[in-house]
Amino acid sequence: MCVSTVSVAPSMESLILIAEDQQHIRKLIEYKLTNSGYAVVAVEDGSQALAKARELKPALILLDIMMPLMTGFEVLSALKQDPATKRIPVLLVTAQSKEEEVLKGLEMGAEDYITKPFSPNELAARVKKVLMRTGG
Amino acid sequence: MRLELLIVLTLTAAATFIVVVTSIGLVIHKAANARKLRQRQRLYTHYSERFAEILLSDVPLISPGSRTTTLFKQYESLITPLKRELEQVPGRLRAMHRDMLRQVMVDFAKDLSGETADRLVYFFYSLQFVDEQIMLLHHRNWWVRAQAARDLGLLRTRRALAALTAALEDPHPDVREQAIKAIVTMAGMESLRTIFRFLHTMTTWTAVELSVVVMQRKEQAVPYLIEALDTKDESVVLFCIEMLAEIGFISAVEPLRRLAAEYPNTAIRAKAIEALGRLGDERSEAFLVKIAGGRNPHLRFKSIEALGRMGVPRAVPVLKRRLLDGRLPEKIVAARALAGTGTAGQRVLEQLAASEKGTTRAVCEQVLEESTG
Repeated sequence: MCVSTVSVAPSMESLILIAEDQQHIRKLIEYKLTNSGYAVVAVEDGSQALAKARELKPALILLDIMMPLMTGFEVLSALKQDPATKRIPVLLVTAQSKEEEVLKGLEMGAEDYITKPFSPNELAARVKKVLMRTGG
Repeated sequence: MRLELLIVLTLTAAATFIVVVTSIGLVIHKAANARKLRQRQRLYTHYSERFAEILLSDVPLISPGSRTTTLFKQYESLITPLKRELEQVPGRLRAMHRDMLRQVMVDFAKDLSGETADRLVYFFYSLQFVDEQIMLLHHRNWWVRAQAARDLGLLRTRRALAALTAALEDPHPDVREQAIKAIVTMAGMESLRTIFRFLHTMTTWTAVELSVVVMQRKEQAVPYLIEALDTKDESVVLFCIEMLAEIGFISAVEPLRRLAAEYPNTAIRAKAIEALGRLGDERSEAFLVKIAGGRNPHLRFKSIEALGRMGVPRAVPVLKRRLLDGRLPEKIVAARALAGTGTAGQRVLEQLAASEKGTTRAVCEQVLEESTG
């Protein structure tokens, strides 16, 4: 099990949960968001993401769609059905040219999405925008 | 008796010894592999972290008018500590370190865009991976060559374009496939011209791969597909015809008509006729009607099919003649084409169903039943 916590800004309002199975990109997002002033918790599969979301109630979840154990869609669905987590905004990370995935995710209640390959600066900007919009 | 017992005992002891030694060998081998795997995993984690930091480290802002070398100097200052670290790794381990570092960079290249990706490309050059990968395009194992082509494409290393173009003639289809993808990623749709010129005897997989590239850009690819209809390699010509029909862009009608009329190989002409039917443009009607009444049975059949797909009322006389004079497959396809032309064709089918006998009558009745049912 791989759960890494970086506590730069210990305010719970700025805690971001990253669910991404690919180690290199998880590290990069972790680094980028930590440098942008957020507290970050990173997990490597869907079931850990769900457990951490319930436990920590983060301000935002960055959710990769293709993950082992539970896909991003399954996690999203479980989050939106649970009254304790349904208000947490979710930003989906999808593979390129998967329009149907994006539409499905947005219909299921995701706040926004970003497509791989992405620019880390754009990712940080989107995170900021979603947090501003949702008051996180 | 004693001697026999001795032999049996010796053989048993030898067999036991071999089994024990082999088992120990296997265990040691497995343990060594597991250790190596753990070591590689540790290195991957290490370089993922290091590279995430290097890729996202701030560099001082440079003015828009500054030379590119100023930016490159900044990038170089970011990568220098890692280079020094690599130099200190003992010789026998350095290859593994470099391999994992390259793997991390390739994985990053798949997922990143923007300035971070540009930075990554610079680092790939600076660490001399580009030259290494270009050399690997000549490796004796095809999978190594294919991976090198893929990695060069992912990292958009333009210096490798010439080597990748040469890889289009690689004996293994997977290498050619990866080279195509890499070239299109780097040089865009214009590179199709080069790709078509160099490709020889396209395999199904290469065709599938290339069709994905073409269908992503559709109209942009049309001029290059039309141009490639003059290529000598017939597999490329067939591919281009299929793609033009699939895209359905009307500028392809005239080149396809010319190909259908003049190409020496009947299979290519037949494919072009089929494509004209799929495009369904009225400018090809007269030509198809002429071929449908011609001597070549294969081309005749394909033209009738095309006319049936398009539903051309002016083709009714020639279709009627083919229904009366043709062999059974031609009768069937002509009858279906007649049914597709509308009222005039339907009337012909009804008349022939009443007046003719034997096969023609049966075909007419069958097709009428299909069209009304």
